[in-house]
Amino acid sequence: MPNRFLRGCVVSAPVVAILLTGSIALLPAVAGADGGAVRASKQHGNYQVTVFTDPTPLLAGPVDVSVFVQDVGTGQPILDGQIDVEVAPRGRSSETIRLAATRAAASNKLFQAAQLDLPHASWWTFAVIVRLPTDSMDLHFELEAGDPPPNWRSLWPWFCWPFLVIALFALSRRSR
Amino acid sequence: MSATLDACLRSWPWDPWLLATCLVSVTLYYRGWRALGRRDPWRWHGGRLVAFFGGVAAVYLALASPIEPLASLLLGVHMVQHLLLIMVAPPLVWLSAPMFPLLRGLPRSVRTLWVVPLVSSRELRRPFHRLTHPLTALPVLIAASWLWHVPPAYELALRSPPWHYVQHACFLLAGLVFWYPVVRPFPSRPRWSAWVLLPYLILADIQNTVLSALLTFSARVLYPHYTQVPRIANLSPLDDQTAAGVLMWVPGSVAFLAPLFAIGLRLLYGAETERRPRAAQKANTPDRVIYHLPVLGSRSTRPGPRHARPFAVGPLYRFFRWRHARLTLQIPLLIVAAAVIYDGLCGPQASPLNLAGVLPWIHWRGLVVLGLLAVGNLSCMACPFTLPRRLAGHWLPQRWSWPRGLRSKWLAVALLALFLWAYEAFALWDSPWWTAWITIGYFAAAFAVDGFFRGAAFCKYVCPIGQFNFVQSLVSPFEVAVHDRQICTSCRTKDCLRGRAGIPGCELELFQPRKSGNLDCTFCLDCVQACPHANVGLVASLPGSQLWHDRLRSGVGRLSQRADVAALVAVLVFGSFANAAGMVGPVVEWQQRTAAALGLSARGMITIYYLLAIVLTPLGAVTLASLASRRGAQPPVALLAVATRYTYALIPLGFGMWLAHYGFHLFTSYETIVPVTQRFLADLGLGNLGEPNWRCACCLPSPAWLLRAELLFLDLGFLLSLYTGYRLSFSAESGRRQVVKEFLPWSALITLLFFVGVWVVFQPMQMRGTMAAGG
Repeated sequence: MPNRFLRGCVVSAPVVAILLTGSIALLPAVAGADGGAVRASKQHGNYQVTVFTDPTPLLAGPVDVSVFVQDVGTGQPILDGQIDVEVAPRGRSSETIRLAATRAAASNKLFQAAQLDLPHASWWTFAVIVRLPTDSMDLHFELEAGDPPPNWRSLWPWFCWPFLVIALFALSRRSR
Repeated sequence: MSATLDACLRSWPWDPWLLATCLVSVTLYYRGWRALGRRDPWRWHGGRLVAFFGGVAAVYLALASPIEPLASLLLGVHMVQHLLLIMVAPPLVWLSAPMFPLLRGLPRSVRTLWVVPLVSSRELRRPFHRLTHPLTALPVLIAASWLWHVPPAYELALRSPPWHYVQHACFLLAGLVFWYPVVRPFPSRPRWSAWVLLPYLILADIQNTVLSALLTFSARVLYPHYTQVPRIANLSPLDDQTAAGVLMWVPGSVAFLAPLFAIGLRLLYGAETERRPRAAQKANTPDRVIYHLPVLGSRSTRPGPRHARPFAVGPLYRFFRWRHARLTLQIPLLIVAAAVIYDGLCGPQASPLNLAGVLPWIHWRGLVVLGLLAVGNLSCMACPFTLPRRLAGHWLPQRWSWPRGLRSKWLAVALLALFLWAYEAFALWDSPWWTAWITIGYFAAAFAVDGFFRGAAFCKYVCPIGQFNFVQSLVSPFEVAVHDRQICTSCRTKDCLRGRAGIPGCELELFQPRKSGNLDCTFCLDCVQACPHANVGLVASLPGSQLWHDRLRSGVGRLSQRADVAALVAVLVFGSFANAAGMVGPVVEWQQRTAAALGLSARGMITIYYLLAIVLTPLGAVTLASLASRRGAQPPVALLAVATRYTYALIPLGFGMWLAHYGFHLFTSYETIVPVTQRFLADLGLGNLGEPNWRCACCLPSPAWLLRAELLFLDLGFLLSLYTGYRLSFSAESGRRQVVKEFLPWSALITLLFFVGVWVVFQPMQMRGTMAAGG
């Protein structure tokens, strides 16, 4: 019996180790490029403003708008600007959504971010208003937000992983 | 410190799943390392622990530190991230020899029942051995490095978070595979000459040099993404690329060449790096140490208690042994029940404004299922309806036996089905008045039944809530059981059943030494207090394991011979799906369309829906599964016997559905209690808790984690149901092929129900007991 235990330990342990340590990689780690895709960039005087949105492509639902302001001369980020983001469906300014972009809302603290909720798929007009101690500027661009994917498409691993467990279990039983 | 650097250093992305995974890995390793270190401190030294912690920290730093957000702006930082995943984390993890500690750190039951059979299977071992052979591991690393550095692949990863995640997973796994033959972590046995490792590492270094040279000396930017993003500190994209190439070249070469020299020296000079101290060798040889490790050990053979005493120390244990423990839990609930009755009858008849519209249907139900999940049948333990039994004992005869014809669960099955139907048909959740009268009815029924009949007949044969708790608690992690059966065999007084010194014995006639599982156990704790040997208590058991055998159970008999209990289970399981589905948009619309087409009233439609969902569908599904299953049974078994045996396998999945459903209402509407209590107390002229903020009486937006948690409950229920069915098919003592034939129809039914549950939780659910528009 002890020999069986010993043999079992020796053969099974490496597999366990790689499964367990590998599981670190299999969990949904933050892997996305922070801030998303560059949507607009504009130089005004000595300042460069770049706007990112996430997700890519843009979809109705939660949207992250990140703004990066930097000094063109030094390349250093400007961290004390006041930034507002305004989003409205194209041609319907009465439905404008306004939010302040803050550093607290950004995971990359070089940026200032605002999290919006686009209520439906359509073309949206974005306005980013930047107020700096010495200057102010604004940036306008339009983006089309598509229909959000059904929840199950983003959450399929959450209800499919049991089938992997079943397959592994079946394998283990078959070899007995 | 400059403001830019400060901002960079504060950029830690919040990733709870990664954090949780790292913490679980570290905890498991530490647990196992500590246990192993007590037996063989020479092998399990602190360096191993540091290496594992370092490896996990490297993964965390790569994926959830400032490196992650900056990686999309600077290729050099991105390269550091990849180096951590390929060159730093994997060798550190292998140096920690994680196999034994991780196995040993798992709970014994999980280890022996699940993990060891799985990982010792030939189907897993064979590909693992092939994968970690140097002739395979090197191409794996080269393929992962080169393919992901092809510009379209790299750009794809930068553009798409899921692909970026796949890229990271590839790098980490390729790193683990590559470094395994180099480190050869204990207890792996080398299957190739160590000389192979010299060309192995040299070739790895050559490919790394070529790839990094391509990056370093390229005259154009290879990844256009970095030309579009703003440049930090005016570092041009080409300079950034060169820096990334150098980073890959120099530390990469060091990572490959350092072990190359170490291995070369060992081969040339025969240095035995793992020489054990003589004393340690004398004390225990490696082999002796290994086979004494309880890595694969099943059940302890040491004499001692059968069950650990989870509450053996501390105030909780003393509380459960205290004679008035149950009363202490019941009295607050009695007060709450009185408030519900009063408010239901006299308060505003709008459920979001009334205690009777909020407390029972949002909070109490949610807390009951969470209690069942975390501990056991706490709901029956704290049940206030049984308090009148004591009064009834004084005023009424309480001497008759419950009629023989009703000594089964059939009455409870009928009452439960009636309740599930009435809940929807009369919108009980939306009627404080009805809720109050149901509560009064409960008190009256408990008083009347227990006033005339002996043996907690109301709990055992009548109460639908009790039946719900009994069945679901078969999946709970705790049961009331004896610690040591040896003590019971020498016990002559049987006080747990008969009572002692004014303490009643078990009124439900569950004799502790032969009791198995929580069925019919109200967690009243009478047996705990009556046992003169302090041998009864709440003990831990593997959730669901109470269903895996068909032993004779005291007060219940064999489950496989209790068609009434199986029917109760079927109604509860299918009821869980019917109850949840009845609240989702598509089903409500279907009901409305069908009612209009057939000219039915809403109540008529609900009646048909429930007749279909909790009577005809279970009957049809269980019959079909039993018929198919019976074809594989050898010798032939009666249809009812097959149906009865396997229906119990559905319990975990049904419990998962109840958890998902009631958990959803609790977590999206728990705040409703605040304004309703303020209003109630103000109406009574008690206290001044401020103006009710009726916005709190509306549902909160469903948090992102809630849907995942609902799916997780269903997943775990699904797996446990399948495993239970599998175990039950084995209990039939048939051959493997027969087992598969018998089990397959039931696994199909369980899978079908699982997908129904998944579909339901993805649908928008009506918010009940809450204000539609937040005030």
